[in-house]
Parts: sequence; C-alpha cells; structure tokens
Amino acid sequence: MFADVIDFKKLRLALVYILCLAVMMFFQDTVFARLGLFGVKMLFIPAACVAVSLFEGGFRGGLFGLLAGLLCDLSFPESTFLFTLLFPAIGFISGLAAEFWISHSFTAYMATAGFALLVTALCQMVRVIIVEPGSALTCLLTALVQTLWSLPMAAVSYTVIKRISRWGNKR
Amino acid sequence: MKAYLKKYGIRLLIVVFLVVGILAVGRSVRDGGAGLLSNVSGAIRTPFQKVATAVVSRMEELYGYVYKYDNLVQENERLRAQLADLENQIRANDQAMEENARLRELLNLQQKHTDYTFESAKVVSWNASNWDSSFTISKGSDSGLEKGDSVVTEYGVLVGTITEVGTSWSTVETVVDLDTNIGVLVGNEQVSGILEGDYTLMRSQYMKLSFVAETGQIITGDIVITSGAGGAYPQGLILGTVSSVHTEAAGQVEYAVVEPFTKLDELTQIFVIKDYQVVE
Repeated sequence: MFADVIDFKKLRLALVYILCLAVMMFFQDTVFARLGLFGVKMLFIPAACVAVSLFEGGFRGGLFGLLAGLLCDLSFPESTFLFTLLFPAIGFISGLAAEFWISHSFTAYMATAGFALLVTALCQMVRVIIVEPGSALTCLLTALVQTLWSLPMAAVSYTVIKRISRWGNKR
Repeated sequence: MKAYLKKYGIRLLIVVFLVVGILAVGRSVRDGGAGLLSNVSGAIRTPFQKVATAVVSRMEELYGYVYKYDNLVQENERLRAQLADLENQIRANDQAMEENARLRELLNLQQKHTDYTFESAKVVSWNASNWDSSFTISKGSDSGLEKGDSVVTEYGVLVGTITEVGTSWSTVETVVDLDTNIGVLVGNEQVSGILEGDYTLMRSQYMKLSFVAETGQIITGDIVITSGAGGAYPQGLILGTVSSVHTEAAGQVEYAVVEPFTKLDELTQIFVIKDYQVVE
C-alpha cells in the first residue's frame, strides 16, 4: 500500500543527501574546526547548498539549505537564525541562477559557490561590526580568508554531490 | 626342463655363492669401512637422496607451517591485543597522571577558596566559527551546571563563562570572546578597570582592558584579577597579565592589552565553579 504512496527513489536520494550533509557537518565541526589558514577556519556548507541546487534545482537546494542552516545554527553558538535563513536563500537563488543564467559547469559552480561563501562570511561579520565598528578591517580580512580557505572543500563538495545526483537520477 | 635347470641353475647358484662369498670375505676384511660397491652405489644414490631429503624436509616444513599457521595467527592476534591493551594502559596512566597533577593543583585552590564548589569537565570540541571564541565541555545540567557559571583551570585562572547548558554538555564562551565584560583589579595598586573582548585582539587570543581608573597606574606585567563586583564572577580569579599599555596624549591610560594566563587552545580539562560566596 505504502509503495504506491511513497516515491522510494526520491526518498533514497533525500536520505543520501541527508547522510552527506551529516558527514560534511561532522568534518566541519571536528577536523576543520582545528585546521585554520592564518588562524581562520573554513565554512564550506554554503557551497554544498549551491552544489545541490545546481544539480537538483532551486527547491531541493533550498530544502537542503534549510536543513544545513538549522544544523549550522545549532553548531555555531553566536548565531541563532542566521544560517537557517541564509542557506535556504542561497540554495534557492543558486538553483534559480542555474535554471536560467549559469551553466552546470565546475567553473560556474566555483564562481557561484565563492560568491555564496563570501555572502555568508559578510553576514557573519555584521554582528561583530555592529558591536565593534572599529574592527571592520580585521573582520573583512577574516571574511576574505574564510571564503578563500573554504574553496578547496567547496570543490570537493561539488564532486561528491555531482556523483550523488547522477546516482540518484540514473536509477 | 631338467637340462635347462641343470645348465643355468647350477651356474646361477655358483655365481650367487661366489658373490656372497666375496661379500662375506670383503666385509670381514674392511672392518666396518665401505666397500667399492657400496661406495659406487652410495655415490650414485646420495645426490638423489639429498634431493629427496630436501624435498621431504621442505614438505615437512610446509606441512608444519600449514599445521602451525593457524596457531601462529591466533598467537599473533593475541599478542597484538595484549600490546594494544598495554599501550592503552600506558596512555590511560599518562592521562591519569596528568589529571592527578591537575587535581592536586585544584586541591590547593580549593584549600584557598573553601567556599568554591567545583565540577570537573573535559573540553570536548572547539567552535568552528571565526566570529566568536567558545568551546563545548562534557558536563551540563545533569551535573548541576548553570548558565553564567565561571570556568577556571586547576590554577584558578578564569578561562570563560558558561553561556548555554545542555543536559550533558555546555558551551563556554572564553574570556577573549567579543561579549566578555568583566570587572577587574590590576597590579599591586589594585587599579579597577573593565576587561572587554575585542574582535581584533580575539583573533590573537588577547583581551582589552578599558575604563581604567584615572588615579591608577598600570604597567606591563601587572597581573589582572577579577574584582568580584556585581557577583557575576568570584573575586580574585586570575585572568592574565598586562602585555602593553596604550596611553592618550595627556598620559592617561586609554586601554591596555591583556594576555590570558593560560593558552586557551591547549585546554583539555577545566573546572566549573558551581557555587561560591559572593563578597559584598
């Protein structure tokens, strides 16, 4: 009975994406929380949202972003709703862009992901700027390094998500 | 047939007797040494025997190897397990010794501050964010921890405050975090001031000392301790030392940079002050 109601193909794909996100979050919070470039740590989850949007469309990318945002807000004590709001937006807009304006190529992805990473870092820095306007330059530098340092893992995310998407849509 | 037996039978018997006779005489003469025939046959046989022996012994070894292999594998596994156990024991002993040293220091601290109630906890992980300085510890509300509790090292150095409490975990915001605001006393003169978090300094694990009393004078190397004013923090907890002083043109202290007494990145175990007597 349930077999008619549930699309197991979609369900399996969703579960794989959730598993993938869990693994990414694990690495983000453990290994990469210790690996810094000039003391700055990476945050590559927004890039994963872009990748999912690119291959699965804006809606699914947005849903992935929502889940990723919730987990990031739980993980980062300084933010309460920032990521929960930002990541779905990143996911959806990236999907929209992929639908109409940009290709699904790696270069296009890296450009979009880089932009998403920078927007995330800038949003994170707003709170600090409000509390302490004098530290704007340090904040900007940190945001830039965070973006650049996240790019290698963004590239890895692209490869992983592309494979998942191909696997999910092939069957 | 009779003729055949007579002809060949008798000849054969003669030859046999001759040979036996010769052998018997030869054996009695050589007194234990090898005869010619023996030497010749031995010379021919020996290489074959050697090869055969080698093959057999190899086969025996192989058989023994196959037979004993399982036992050896089991023994190897057992030894590996023993080695791993011993290594674990050594590691556990090292950790226990380190913890013991920390607890001894804590005991000294407890003797000095009998009003403190401590709860020991491990640092589980550091926050991955670049925009604050916090870490997660292994104890929470189950152990009686509350938001606002002070977190110190075994030497009584204040490292942070609990900002979020779960059942079995808590988040500690360190003293270098942007949101830090602690009333402090500086140096021998006990000059009052406010220790604040500063984002630029936070990146290099330093703190900012502001609102220094006009009458006071502070110099590099002065020790900064909590004043206990307001009751948010226990009085007398060490925070760090003044590493540089920035003055205005009139000579008045604008702010000072304070270096924490402890390397925050290297923290593995901390102690939460659950309860203490507030000094009015």
